[in-house]
Amino acid sequence: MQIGGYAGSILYVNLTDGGIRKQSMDEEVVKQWIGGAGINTKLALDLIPPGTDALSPRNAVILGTGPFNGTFIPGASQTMSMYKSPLNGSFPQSNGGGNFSHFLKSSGYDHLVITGRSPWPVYITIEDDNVSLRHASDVWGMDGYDAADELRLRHSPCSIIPIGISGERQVAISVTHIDKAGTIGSGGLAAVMGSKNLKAIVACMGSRTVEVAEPDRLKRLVDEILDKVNSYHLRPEMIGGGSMAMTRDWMPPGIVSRNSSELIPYPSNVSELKPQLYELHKAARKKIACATCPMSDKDRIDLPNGRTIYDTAVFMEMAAMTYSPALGYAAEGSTADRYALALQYYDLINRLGLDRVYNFQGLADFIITLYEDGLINKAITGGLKLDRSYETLIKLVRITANREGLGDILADGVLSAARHIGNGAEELVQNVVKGQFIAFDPRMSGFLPMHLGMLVHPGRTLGVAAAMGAPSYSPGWPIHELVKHAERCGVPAEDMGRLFTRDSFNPGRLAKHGEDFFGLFNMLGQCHRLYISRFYSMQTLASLYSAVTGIRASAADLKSASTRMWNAWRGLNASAGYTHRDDLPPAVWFKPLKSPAQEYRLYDYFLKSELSRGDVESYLEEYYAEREAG
Amino acid sequence: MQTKVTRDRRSIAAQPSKCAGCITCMLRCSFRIDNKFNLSRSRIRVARQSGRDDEFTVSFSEDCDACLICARYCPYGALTATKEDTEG
Repeated sequence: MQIGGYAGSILYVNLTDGGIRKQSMDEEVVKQWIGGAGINTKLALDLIPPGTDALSPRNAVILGTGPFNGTFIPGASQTMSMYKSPLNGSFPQSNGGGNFSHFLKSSGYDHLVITGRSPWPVYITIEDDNVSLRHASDVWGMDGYDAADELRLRHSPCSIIPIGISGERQVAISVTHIDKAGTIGSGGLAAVMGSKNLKAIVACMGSRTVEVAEPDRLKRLVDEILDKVNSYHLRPEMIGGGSMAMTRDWMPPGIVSRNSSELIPYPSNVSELKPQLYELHKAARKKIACATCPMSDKDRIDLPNGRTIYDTAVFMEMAAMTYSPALGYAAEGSTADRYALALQYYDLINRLGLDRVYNFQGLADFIITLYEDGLINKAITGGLKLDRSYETLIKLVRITANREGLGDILADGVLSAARHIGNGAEELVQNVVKGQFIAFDPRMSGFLPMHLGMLVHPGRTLGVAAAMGAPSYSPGWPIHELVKHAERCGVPAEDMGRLFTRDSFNPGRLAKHGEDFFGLFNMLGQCHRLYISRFYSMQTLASLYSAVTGIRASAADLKSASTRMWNAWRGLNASAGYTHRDDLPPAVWFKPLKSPAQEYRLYDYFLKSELSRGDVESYLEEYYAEREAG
Repeated sequence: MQTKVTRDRRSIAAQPSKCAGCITCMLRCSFRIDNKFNLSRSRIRVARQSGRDDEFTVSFSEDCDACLICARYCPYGALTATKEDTEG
């Protein structure tokens, strides 16, 4: 294949018979689907029949890179995954950072497709044409980080996607991490790997080349982007404090608790505690960056108590949780003690491989609430007294990851747990869409394009997909900032009238264009985190794409390609049984969220009007109409 | 492999404690050689050390000509370039 930016091949591994096959990429497929999530969607359509059992050998683990991976474009770090989810039967579009995409391409592969089931635990190593299935019995049983450490000792230089205990136990709310940094595979990628007896995928440094069509133009474009990166006024602080530096000023009023019915406010002195937490964090943190990332948001933290922990980005909110009694994030003690304990919780959950944000956090609160309300007792919990202490939280993590007792009930997610418990528990599931929790309750913020995204995406609630810019993450920005955001997402001038009035906008219609922008990042292999994506527009991506591939493509051409991908992906999920009915907002959004001081109700973006169910459903209708408009 | 390289009054010194492991230097180095990206041909090597709390090591190969481009593109100041003035 003569298109720049691609390694040129797809690697197929069948774990049942050990078959390994390399296939050249088809130029027409590459032009139409671009790469990453695009070609992953095409492969999933071709290879995973709609009725496939997610934990059967017929399911495929599809990993993909895009044409930007392997180059030095800032933030070109992402590996995209697709598979059928054991949590909700959808086809998640999940991506993570680290160095895997670059190392896979260094061996000559753009995509990797793993099917079948090995008779015994194995891990895969990939180094040029040497692709091996190796016995993994000595790493089976290790947590994800220990397994990564051990495999790195054996195969360095390399990049590693291991699974933790929850993957081995086929826990449906499992995730995993690339290089102990980038979270990937919400909705149970790790469980799918576990069902295949696959402990890890190791991409070693190969000897292959990635060529680009217009090297000088690419250099010029990258230099322009780096000029913007280097002059970004928040960057020096970000390098020191990581994601926490970017979220120092962002704090919700408290933590949603008791099954989405109450808001537990932070203590009144939280604004005094935040600087203490930030200073602790900065002093303890060593920065880790994904490939080509100039922002380094991954954290290795040397705690004051001597332990070293990792997280994929510690936000201020996570540290401030140490002062909330909502869900036992921390025991009592000094600020340093609380910070250390909270981070040890994040470390444990990452090591064992549970999805905290969109599953475990809400699930733990749900089961504790049922216990507090007398709907379950020690006969169900296996003798465990469930309270909101740190110790209970840690126990719940461990038993869920290991499928022990009550943990076996929790391991398949909140809908499955509620069905199992019965006694009316199913009717009590709230703030859940397609089997996963809405992590950012819109009653606390106002309804954002992000929340529309959280309704419509099967699989992990990828609200960020519909956001992709500060004005769509937080409420009340002036309308001209939203227009600027839409322009950045590539909305043509003639379409603006559908999205905006003089003083307002339609979040459903805007969300569709945020998705197109986001989708293109996932097709190209580019990181979409706010502090990277801020340096890009649809036009910048089109210029880079042309320089890398040699294909003349305008911003409009790439936007159309992304629209095609989204529509095909939505079709894939429709084949798994998803309909518009599954997009409907949870009933709890239209009930008050109560805190001691006030009630929070669902308001519009400008926090002027309370929204009814009919209002949100009309946003959804507008979203569908915009998507059909192309 | 060495952590400092000097050629023709140009030198690059690595400070691994500042390295975040982004491998931009490796990609830029290989791209400078023949306008292609190839990690294995890079004359600077960043490696993540397992079992040592993920510290990064940075080293230069014998054929590194200290062109300084890796230092110019390092986002984290982990590579210090020195160029002696040859005039006057």
